[in-house]
Amino acid sequence: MTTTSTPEASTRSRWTRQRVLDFLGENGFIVIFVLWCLFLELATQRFATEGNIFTVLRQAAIVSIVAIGETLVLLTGAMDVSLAAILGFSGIVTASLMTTANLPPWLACFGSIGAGGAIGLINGLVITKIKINPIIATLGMMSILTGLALMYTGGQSVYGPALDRIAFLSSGGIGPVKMPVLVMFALYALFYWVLSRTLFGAHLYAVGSNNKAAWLSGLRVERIRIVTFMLAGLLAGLGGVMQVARLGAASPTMGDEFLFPILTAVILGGVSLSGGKGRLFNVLIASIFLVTITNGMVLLDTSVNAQRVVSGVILIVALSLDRLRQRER
Amino acid sequence: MNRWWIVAIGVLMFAACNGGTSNVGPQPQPTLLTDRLGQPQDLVPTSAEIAAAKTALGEKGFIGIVACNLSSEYHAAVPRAAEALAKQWGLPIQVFDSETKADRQNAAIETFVAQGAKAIALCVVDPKVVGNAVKEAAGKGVFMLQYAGRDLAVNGIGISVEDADLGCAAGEIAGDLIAREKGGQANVAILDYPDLPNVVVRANKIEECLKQKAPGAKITGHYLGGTAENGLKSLENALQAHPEIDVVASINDAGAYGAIKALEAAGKDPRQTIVVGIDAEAQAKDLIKQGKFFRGTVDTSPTQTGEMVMQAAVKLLAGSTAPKNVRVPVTKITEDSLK
Amino acid sequence: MAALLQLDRICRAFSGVTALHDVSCSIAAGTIHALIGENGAGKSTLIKIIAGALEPDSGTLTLAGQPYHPHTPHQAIEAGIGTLHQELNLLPSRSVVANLTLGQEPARYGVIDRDQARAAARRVLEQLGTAYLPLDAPIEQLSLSEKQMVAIAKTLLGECRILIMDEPTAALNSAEVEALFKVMQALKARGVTVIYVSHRLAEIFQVADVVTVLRDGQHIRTTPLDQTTPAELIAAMLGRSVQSVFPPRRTQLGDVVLSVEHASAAQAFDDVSFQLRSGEVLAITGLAGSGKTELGQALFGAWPIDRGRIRWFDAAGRITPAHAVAAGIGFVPEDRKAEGLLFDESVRRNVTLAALTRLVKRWGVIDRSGEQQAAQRQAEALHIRAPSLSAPVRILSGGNQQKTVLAKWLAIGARALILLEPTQGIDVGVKVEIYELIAQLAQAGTAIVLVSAEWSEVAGLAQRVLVLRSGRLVAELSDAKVEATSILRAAAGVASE
Repeated sequence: MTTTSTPEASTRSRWTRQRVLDFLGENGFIVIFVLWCLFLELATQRFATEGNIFTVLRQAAIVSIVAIGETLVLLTGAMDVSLAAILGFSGIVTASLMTTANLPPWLACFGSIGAGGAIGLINGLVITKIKINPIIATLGMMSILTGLALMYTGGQSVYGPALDRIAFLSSGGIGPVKMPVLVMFALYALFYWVLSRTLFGAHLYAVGSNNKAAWLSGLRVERIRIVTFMLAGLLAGLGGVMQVARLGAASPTMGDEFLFPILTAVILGGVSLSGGKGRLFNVLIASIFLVTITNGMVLLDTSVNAQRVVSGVILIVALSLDRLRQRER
Repeated sequence: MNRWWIVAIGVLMFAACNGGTSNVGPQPQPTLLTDRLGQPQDLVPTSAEIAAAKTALGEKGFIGIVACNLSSEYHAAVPRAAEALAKQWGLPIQVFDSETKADRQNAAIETFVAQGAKAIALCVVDPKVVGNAVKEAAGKGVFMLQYAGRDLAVNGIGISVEDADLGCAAGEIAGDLIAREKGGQANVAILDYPDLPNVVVRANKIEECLKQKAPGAKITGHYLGGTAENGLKSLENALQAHPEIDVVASINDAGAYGAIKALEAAGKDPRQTIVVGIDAEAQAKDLIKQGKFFRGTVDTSPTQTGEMVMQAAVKLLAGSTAPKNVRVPVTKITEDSLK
Repeated sequence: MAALLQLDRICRAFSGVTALHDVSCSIAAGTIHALIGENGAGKSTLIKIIAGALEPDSGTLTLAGQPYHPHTPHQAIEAGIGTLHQELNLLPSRSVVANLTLGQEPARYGVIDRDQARAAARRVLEQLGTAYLPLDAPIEQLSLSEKQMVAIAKTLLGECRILIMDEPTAALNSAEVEALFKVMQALKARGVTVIYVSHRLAEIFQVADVVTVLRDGQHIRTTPLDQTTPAELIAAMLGRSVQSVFPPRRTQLGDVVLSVEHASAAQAFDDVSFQLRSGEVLAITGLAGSGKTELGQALFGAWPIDRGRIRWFDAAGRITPAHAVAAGIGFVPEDRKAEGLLFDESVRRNVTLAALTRLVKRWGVIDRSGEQQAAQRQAEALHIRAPSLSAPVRILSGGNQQKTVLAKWLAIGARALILLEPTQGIDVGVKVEIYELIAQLAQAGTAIVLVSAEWSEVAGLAQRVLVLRSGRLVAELSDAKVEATSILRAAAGVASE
């Protein structure tokens, strides 16, 4: 009689294998990231310099900040594709309030961040009360915001010496650590704490994990989702303010180029598109990883088209690792 | 067999309805000269020609403009100028925004033709994608004009600011400044945008003409430009690899703005560092007047282009004689020209 | 009736662990013979031996008087013993008729005679009363219940004498279960014997003739079903006394906590009125489509009512689950996987989910040690077996998962509980644990609404039973009238004697 392994042993070994795949799936891209950084330093000798490291962190800051908001929304099981447009819209609002309306900088900034929050609130209400599919609703919002920005500016950029007053949001800081980087780390620390330690964070994960069960356990699911969209809007608004500070100007289409990086960062960072799973820290690393790809390509003196190919390859490899952990289920 | 009779009658009625509208009267055919590249004055129409064009359009006809996008200064200005002139002459006109997407242009052309356009002026995003639609429309008797390019104006007039001209002008501005102020030696970063094939021509010409004026200049590389964020990011990275960069030539003003921010942050001397763009946007001109970093841009004359488009359409509809290809002049804009 | 299959002193062990010890049993021809027992009692080992997938270590099997020693499942099929597998073993892309005649295609010179095949297929489907199944439909387009019919018909075509069914109703709705029972009666009418393994006592009492109880690998009893009761069977499965299966019912009741007045919801229930007192166990029961599930959900605010009022603790206004929870009302849904638990979260988080709002410190920070303590308390009180409280609830057994759902409400000190089919699909040992828990809670003053289709547990636990039929409240039984037969009659609409 052959000795077959007992049911417990085979369950345990399957469970261990699943945990290894889970780890690789969630964190595999970090391994690739580290290898990539090592390669760049060895190949160019210019990657790991103080100047370059802080350049990379600065370039990642705005995308990563807005990615926090996208992560929150994804965790509840929805998706928001209007965040990039909110960034652009709030950028136009900031710049216009300061140049045309001549408002003091702090008022203009709070005003446009608030506007971002209000737009997020509208998104949340439309999605929870009128029950429109989140992707479609935010797609519509994106269209509306871009249209409004284009209509208001007539296709022109908004610029002027008044905007120099917020330049410190981009160039100020402590030594080589500039404001955007400080804000990025502060916000990540804050939201990490919120997600892992507070009631709101626990409720948020519950809603994303199974919103019906959460509802039947007495959680106010609608309220949680609306608050999440609002927070995402606020963060996108902040991103817009910071981008205006960075460029010293605002163009009506300035948000467009952020949509792809934001979504790529959250997906690469392993946030589940069906909700309830995802780690903020990984999104931060993913944002930085994405920036090091373009940074590295330039340091390596490669052409723009080669950059595209390499980005694509790296992303596919990293995402395949994500598929690994889906398989054994 | 009754079904077939109904189908046959239906087809005949359909053909009769469609055949009817195109009978406005014999369309006068224009003569297009191909021996030389035309000048703007070749296109100015007489009032008789304008009246003839109006007759040719009839009740339902109109002139269509398919713009590459309406979100950048240049591309928004061309149709605006065309519309203004059309209103002045009392000619119906419709404008379509392609949002820089090549495939949307096919749908636009087909829709315009179906709605009764007699002449369509096109800014082509990608000639390979839209070629067939243009030939089909021309085959139906619609005059296909083109601006910002000329190869696809099959039966119409091409009004082009040559990307080659633009690029070369920018390159020459930069080259001249290098020769005059830097003794012919410099490290040049070129901001590119390889998505659009016409823009690739621009970037290449920048490099070519710059080197003609300043053979000793070194090109550190082509980097992604096109938007302010791209320009900024690319220069931030490029300066890490090549801190010696002291000249930036960009295929448009937008990218140049971003490049300037990067140069500022890197502490470069605004008097010693040269940035040149293309498009002659208002912001660019302001910066040139300030004399810090931004030293030159190239006017693509969008307003003049728009007017020329309308004039060319009139010439075609009136059946006159005109050159097949007309060149829109570019103007170099530097501190001197703005005084 | 003569015994068709006789088992004598069957023994089987795995790696030294005894699965079956000295099991002897007779299965008569033309009967529906139920086989019940706790998980691990040896049911699957026994049917695998009968079906030829395993060989006994000792003991004999006799089929129609002849010795029967199948070494492979194929030999068992040849002998006329078939099994209805969970996976059904059908070819999804092929048609019904192709699947039915697979391996037995009527053929002439290698060419399949289509007409004969279709005639044979139609014949066997008619015999089962399932002639409505389209012969040319590909299997993958049929519902699970219809696929089962095809699989059963296939065994019949193969001249099957004994058909073994292992938990066939697990994924079916009530209408489909009824359809399956009709088919089983048709099989019986044709002389086929059915061995029916199930957890659901209500179904067994409905469809089976004889029942065999196994416990710890041993045969405990085999009796005709009209000579026993659900409580007796449960007691036999667990080795307890009959009295201890359902704890004694409390008679002292408190104040009215729930008042339902003419509640109606379109397409669900109509004009239902009743009251509930603290300490009372009120059962709401009925057949499929009676509206009992929707009524249970409506009491928690999870199903909208169009007319009438539902008032808990004299509070005015519409109920939502959030309000209900805040008022101390708990809800155990029918589908714990989809509605009761956060499957990827830890056991601890699932237990404390409703109580989290009370476990926060300043700034909304969760009191982690408080959470751990609360979860630990509940896990101990309910004997929830899990590797650790941090393990995802997904890996727990069904019974322990259900206990986790209950723990969630005990953690907020629920004053009232609405339970929808709380013991469905749960091993009988945990079932009895839950019965004890319900009785304890009622004793302590919790008001309990038990929505269930298991007559045995309704009869065993409730003081009062509301019977719904087609959405209307047709009977209210209390005290002595609360027993299985009257409930069944009222639910089915048969006049009582």
